[in-house]
Order: sequence, then structure tokens, then C-alpha cells
Amino acid sequence: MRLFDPHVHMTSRTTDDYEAMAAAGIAAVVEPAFWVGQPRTHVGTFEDYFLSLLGWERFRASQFGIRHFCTLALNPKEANNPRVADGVLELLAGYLAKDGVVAVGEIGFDDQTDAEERCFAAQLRLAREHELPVLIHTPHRDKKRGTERTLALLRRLEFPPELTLVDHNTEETLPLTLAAGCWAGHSIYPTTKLDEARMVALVRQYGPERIIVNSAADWGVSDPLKVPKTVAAMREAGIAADVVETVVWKNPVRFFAQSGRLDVAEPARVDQRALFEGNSVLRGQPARVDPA
Amino acid sequence: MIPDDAAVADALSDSASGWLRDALARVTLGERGAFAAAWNACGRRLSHTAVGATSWKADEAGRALLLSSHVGTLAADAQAPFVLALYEKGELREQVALLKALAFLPGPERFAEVAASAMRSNAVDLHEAIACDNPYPAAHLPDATFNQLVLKAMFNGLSPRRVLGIERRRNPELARMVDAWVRERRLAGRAVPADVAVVLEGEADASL
Repeated sequence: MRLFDPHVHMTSRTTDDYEAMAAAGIAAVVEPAFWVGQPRTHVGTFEDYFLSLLGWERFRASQFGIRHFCTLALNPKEANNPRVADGVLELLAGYLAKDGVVAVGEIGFDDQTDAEERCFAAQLRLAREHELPVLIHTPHRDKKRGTERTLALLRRLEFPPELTLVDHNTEETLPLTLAAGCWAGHSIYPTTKLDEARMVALVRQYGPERIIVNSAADWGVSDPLKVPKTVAAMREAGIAADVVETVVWKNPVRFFAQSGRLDVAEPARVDQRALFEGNSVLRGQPARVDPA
Repeated sequence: MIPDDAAVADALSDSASGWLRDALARVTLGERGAFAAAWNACGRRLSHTAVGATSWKADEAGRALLLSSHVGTLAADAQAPFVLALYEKGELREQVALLKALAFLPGPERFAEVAASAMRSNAVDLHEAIACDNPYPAAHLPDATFNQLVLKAMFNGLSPRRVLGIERRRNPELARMVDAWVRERRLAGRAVPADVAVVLEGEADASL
């Protein structure tokens, strides 16, 4: 069974992670543009970040047999910085048209400020213009209220629920997300957010329809193998193989395929002789080359 | 308050306190380049020793004194942009010192954006510097930002008792947010800190 991690910040991870993910069956990832841990002070650093998600990171993933796609956006936290927010929104209009961009994201609420709502709404409009789905972050703090505000804004702007993936759900928010007709993402984390056992219980209760699982691994203490580990937990709990496959492959494929830019029909073929702008991921090791 | 020069000197060696006295004199006179040079050097020149029984360390207090003197030499309309740029381009210890000094600079209400940015920080040192033992949030932040600051402090395992002025600023919306957070933690099978009562209205705590 091929696995899909539809929310993982690979820029923050190592080649060891890529190797372990590929060995565990992960064949495709989506990397959302997000907060890099501290505030950026120039619009230009966002542009270079977007370019690295479209360029070097996609190449790096390919060197380990993983298909890499990205979502681009101004993240909710930095929507609060008036010195970069509008400049980044202007940049986005150009970058959302690129190949490999399979949604607008992460957008949504963090502190639930007016500035966040304004940028969130503007990016929902950009998604409509570019005929892209959206990946929505829900806040860590005051999560239920943040999710309710998110769903209310989507309704007010008449954004199609089938093009909406609301992420980081918990037991409290999942029923709201599903009732709104949206896809529901779940981030499995070592200590916060959800763990594997709670995810198993949610799949048992709600079934696989519109349910998606990710690692949301980033520069913090997180685990890029949480999708395969959740698969193991679901199997151990006796959840049927087709249900598991729906959650960890078919659903994310269906959701992001709505962009018209998701190509996962063929498994990626590794050729580590390849260079990206003259750079290789190798440091003197023999190149792995899969047969054509 | 920022500890005064004498209190800071008491926490320092003679050579370090001499260096600080000299640097402060240059900065107060508006000598070109003096502030930037001293501000950057405090971490190496001054110790991290606590200043008396205060929540300040010697390097933080030294930086706060330098900043407060330097801001006084700037034109009024240049002060807020200067403080914002100093914060954004600062290293972690510099940012901590600046946040602790914020409430004691002239026209402190002008620095709410700096405080809000620190409140959102994932660097726990920065969040703690603005949220804990600091009079700035209760004095100058609007409810929505103040409430997020308290909730984030609790997320980070910091006691809301350390948020100065909490008893004066707690409000029904904050109580709702904390209440929802307590429920979420119970659902996830995680421990709920005992001092949540401090922010829930109607549960005034005599120890405050």
C-alpha cells in the first residue's frame, strides 16, 4: 500500500527522514508553506521560501523516490505583520499559478485577529480565481471557537466545502468539520494534537469518508513517520485494509487531485545522478539509480 | 521598574560596572555608534547574575538602562520605529531585555505591536519575557491580545499567577477560553494545572 503524508514541512527535515519515510511506504507528500519559527522581516524572504518549495525541496524528495507537492500562502501568524502581509498576498497571485502547487495553504486563524480574518478571506478569493482547493490551519488555542469561525467564514464567502481541507481536528472539532461538508485532516503528534490511539477511535466512530491523516512534522519535536505508525495502529485495531487505504492514500489523492496538478499515477523513479542547479543531495556516496 | 545603576553595579564586578557606567555616559551624550556597540556587547561584558531580589538579570538590566537612555536622545517620532526594528533584528537575549524594558520606555502604549509579536513567538523565552513578571500586557494590551497571552502562557506550562495584573484584567471571554481549554485537555486525557482557577471569574484567589 502506498502512503501519502499530506501535511509535512520537509524543508525542516533531514535526508535520513526522507529515507525512513520512503522505506515506510510514503510515496507522496504535500508541504504547506508555513511559519518558519520566527517572524520574517522582508517580503523577499517569502519569495525565496516559495521558490525553495517549488524547486530544491521537490528535487530533494525525488532523490528518495517521493513525489513532493506544495501549498502556498501567507500563514495565519504572519498575517498579523502589517509590514509583510500585503506584499506577500501580492506575490501569491503569481506563484499560485505554478505547477506543483496543489492548494492555497496553510491559511486560517491563529490568534483569531481581524488581520488574520482579512488575509484568510483574501486568500479564499485567490483560491477561487486559481481554481485551487484550500488547506486550513485551525488554531492551537481556543480551537473549537476558531473552527466555528472558520466554517462560518467559508459559508459567508460561499467557498465550496468539497475544496476545503480543515486540518488539525480533534474529537471536539471533527463533527463540526464533517457536518460542514469539508474534508477533515488530523495531525498525529508525539504529545500534543492527536495520538495514534485517538485517531483509531475517530476512524472507528466516523468511518473513512473525507478523513485524512498527516504528521505535520516540522522543526519542532515531531515525527515524520506518524502516518505509517497510524497505519500500524489501525491494522492492529482490526480496521479493514480498504478503510485504511482510503484514509492514508485515496482521500488525500482525491482531495488534492481537484487542483488538476497532482500526478501520482506512477511511483517516482530514483536517479541520484541528477543535479538541481548543479547541486546533488549526495556527498560522495554511490548514486542510487532505479531501473527504467 | 528597571533596577537603577547602583543596584545593577552591585550585581557586577568592578570592571563590568565600570564598563556599563562608561557606556551609559556615552549613550546619554548621544555619541554616535555608542548605543549599538554597547547593546551588542552587554551579553559578553555583563553577567547573568540576578539583580538583588528582582526578576532582572544584570545583562538585561544593563541593556534596559542603555535602551531607555538612548530612546531619550531620539526625536519623538523616531522612537517607536527604532524600538520595533531593534526588536525584529535582535538576538534572543537582546529581545528578552527589550521586552522587559518595554513598559518603562517613554510612551509605552506605542509598543503594543512589539509586545503582540513576542506574545505569538514560539521561542518560550520571548513569550515568557512579555507574559510573566512584566507589567506591560495588563497596562497596554487590548483584551483579545491579553487573553491570547494568558492562554499561551498556560499552554507553555507557565503559571497565570505570573501574569501581572491578571486579577484586574480577567474577563468573561478569557474565562470561556480557559474553560474550553480545560475541557479539551480532559478529553485528551491530559493533566489540568491547578492554577486555572486564577483566570476563571468568580474564583478570586486570596493569595493574589
